[in-house]
Amino acid sequence: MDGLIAHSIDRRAQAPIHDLLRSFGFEDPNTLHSLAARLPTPADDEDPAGAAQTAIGEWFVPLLNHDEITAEEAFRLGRAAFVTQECARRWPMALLADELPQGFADRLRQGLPIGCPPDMPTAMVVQSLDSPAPFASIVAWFRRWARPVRPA
Amino acid sequence: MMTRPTLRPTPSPSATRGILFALTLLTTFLAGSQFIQIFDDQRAEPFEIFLLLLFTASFWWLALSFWAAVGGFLALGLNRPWHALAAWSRQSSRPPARGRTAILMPIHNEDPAGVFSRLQTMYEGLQAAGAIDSFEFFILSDSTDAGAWIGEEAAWRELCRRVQGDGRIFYRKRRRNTAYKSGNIADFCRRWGRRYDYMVVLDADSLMTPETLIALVHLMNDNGQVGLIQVPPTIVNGGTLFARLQQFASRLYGPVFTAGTALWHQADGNYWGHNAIIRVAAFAEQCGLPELPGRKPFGGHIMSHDFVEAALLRRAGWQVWMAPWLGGSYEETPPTLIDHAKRDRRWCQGNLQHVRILLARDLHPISRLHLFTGIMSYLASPLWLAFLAAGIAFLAWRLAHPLVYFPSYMTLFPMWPKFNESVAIGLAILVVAMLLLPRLLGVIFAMIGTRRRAGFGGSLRLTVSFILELILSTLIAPILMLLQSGFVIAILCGRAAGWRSQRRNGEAIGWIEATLQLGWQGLLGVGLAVFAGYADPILVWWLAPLFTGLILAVPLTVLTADQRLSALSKRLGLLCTPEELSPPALLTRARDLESSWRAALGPKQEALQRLSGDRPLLALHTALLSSHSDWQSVDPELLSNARHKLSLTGNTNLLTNGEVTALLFDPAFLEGLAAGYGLSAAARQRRVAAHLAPQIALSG
Repeated sequence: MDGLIAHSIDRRAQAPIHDLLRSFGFEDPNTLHSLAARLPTPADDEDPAGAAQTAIGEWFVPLLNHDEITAEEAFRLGRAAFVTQECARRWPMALLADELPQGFADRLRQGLPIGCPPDMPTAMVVQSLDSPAPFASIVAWFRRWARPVRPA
Repeated sequence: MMTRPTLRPTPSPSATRGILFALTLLTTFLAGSQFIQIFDDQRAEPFEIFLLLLFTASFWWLALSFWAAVGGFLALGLNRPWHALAAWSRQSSRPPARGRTAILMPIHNEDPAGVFSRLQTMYEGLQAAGAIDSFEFFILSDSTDAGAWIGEEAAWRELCRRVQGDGRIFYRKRRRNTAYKSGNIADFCRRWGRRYDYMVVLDADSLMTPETLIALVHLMNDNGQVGLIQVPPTIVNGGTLFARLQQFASRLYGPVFTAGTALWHQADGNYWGHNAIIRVAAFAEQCGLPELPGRKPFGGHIMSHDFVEAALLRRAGWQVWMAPWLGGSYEETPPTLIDHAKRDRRWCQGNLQHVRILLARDLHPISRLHLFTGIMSYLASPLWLAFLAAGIAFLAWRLAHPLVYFPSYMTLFPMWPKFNESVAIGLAILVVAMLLLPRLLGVIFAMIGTRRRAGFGGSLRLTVSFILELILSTLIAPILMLLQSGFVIAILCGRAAGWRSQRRNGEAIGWIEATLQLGWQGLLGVGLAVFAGYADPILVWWLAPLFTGLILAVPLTVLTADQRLSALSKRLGLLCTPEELSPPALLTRARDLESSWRAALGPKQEALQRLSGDRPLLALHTALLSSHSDWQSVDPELLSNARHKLSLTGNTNLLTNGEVTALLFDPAFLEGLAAGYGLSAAARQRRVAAHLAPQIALSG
């Protein structure tokens, strides 16, 4: 993979991609350069960081064992897991690799933040607290009192 | 609607209620008839009728609580399961529950060390009991302070790490805290309601033992008609003299009152907003709260939602029980009189708002009574105040218009004064007795059990503490009466209270702060004392409890907030409670953990400062965004302002809390922040500006 797309990213596009990779905890310029070379070349009109995010997100999707996850979500979740598990230090060249080092995927899944469980929604039916007719006039008195002030 | 088998409450609710209401009415009638005798008139004058109305309106409330306490004392004294749910739970000793339960901790700008230490304690307790598989935890944040929000995320990460709780402890932040706590819980139900059979709703200072949590699930599993069970919380961890007073009073007198309440409420009980288990399906089906028409304070979102939710469950046929016998339920109390008053202000508005709901269609009569009781708990103060003011006005009028024994017209007999002092003294003694007796019953109940007595430090310390509490609470009562009366008047004038987080830790109150807040009460007290001395020396004695408290309002506020006095009382063994003298393991564990949490979380930091120094936290924060409710509904104007300010100046100190919060929801900003890690401050600023530039261009 490295060989195929090495040097395919021009200098202009390199800075935002290096910034993006830095957010994973990489700081060594050589590592940044090698990892950037693994990313596909963005189209001319494409935002290089955005394209890199999508590519990294897509790389994360099968690793995260997460159903129905978008590349954008996978990017955020995967990065959080990557950073919290200190993968940049443990496995500096694992990101975007075709062959994963042993234990990397398990560790990544362990670090996956699960903010909330999947939605299982239920309806909250808004109840009526109206008063029956005989009392309506009493309640109306309070309503009149609490009526909003009409703006001038 | 779900189907439910029938659990018949025993003893018969109609019998207990019939007796209670009959005794209340009878006592009020007798007191009222005696009150008329004070004036010894052939015909009542309008002013006297006015006084009579004020007196009976205040007195029936006192009588109701008096007889309920007597009932509670008898129920406790007989030591029998005094209702069906209690009877069932005493036979139950089964292992952990079935049924999936969510433990909900709604928070709003709270101290994370306290909140998360309590969560860890409960989690570990359930783990040790082998019941953790039946429970999941939710931290439902409504925090508006950006620093508090990021602090919570850091604490959540730490909690998951400490207990290996990933996938069982969840954190959700709402962008807008619509409808406050009730909206927070409703949001939970809407998103995850079908995932759980039950939810245990907590407050930020709540703590419940695993035994109680498991017992609650058992009770719900085995009583399909029960919608909600409230476990009255015991007040603990009082650090100031004021908090220890509240804690002692609630622990000593509370059992009698709650037993009495549970006895006559039976299956038509009430909900106090936390430390309760709720059947989620029933709640979702019945407890969607409407927004009341009109403006605040009577219109808008329902503030005291708990009473209304209990009433709605009851209206749909679900039973609502109170289970004081379960125990293992704790909470804290505001540390100072001023904090207590602030909380009271909020509760007062919420309860008075129930005037709008009192006559709602199809509510159970007892639910209406709960609502009315809540209203009366705040109206009682202005009623007593009006009664006192009317009495004083009457005396002032008498001073201005001396008695004429021989009028100008011809009469055979002198006109004797129309004031029967002996009846007045008798009534005053009756009122004092009805206030004191329930407390004495609490003391007697504590004294007659060897373990209970030891729990309060033994007979002597208990007696001295009781007298001390009595003196101090008598002095504080008129201060609270005036404050509550002021709240009621402010609310009736249309002034709404906000929703601020409570100060839960003891921080000293300075003399200046106390004087600014309560100095006017001191002046009023002095004025009242001078008037009484001028009017009649006997009146000084009648009004002494009132004006002494008022004159001492400022020193009482300062001194009861002083932790040194609290420590001294503790050293002397005064105002102690069983939980203080031999703390349950759960409380000790929570307290120990709180210090370790404080060390782990460090001092509170600004949100952006914290994120800039903690790369994993920033990555976590960005990852969590999409799991938060309505996270995309950030105010576009606020966000645009924040982006402009930051890209122009680079100075985060210029941002308001709202702008920082908007940026914390902004993926572009967060990516900019992440991109600048490990770089110089200037380079970081350039990265943030570069990430914000396209967004600024887009928004024009």
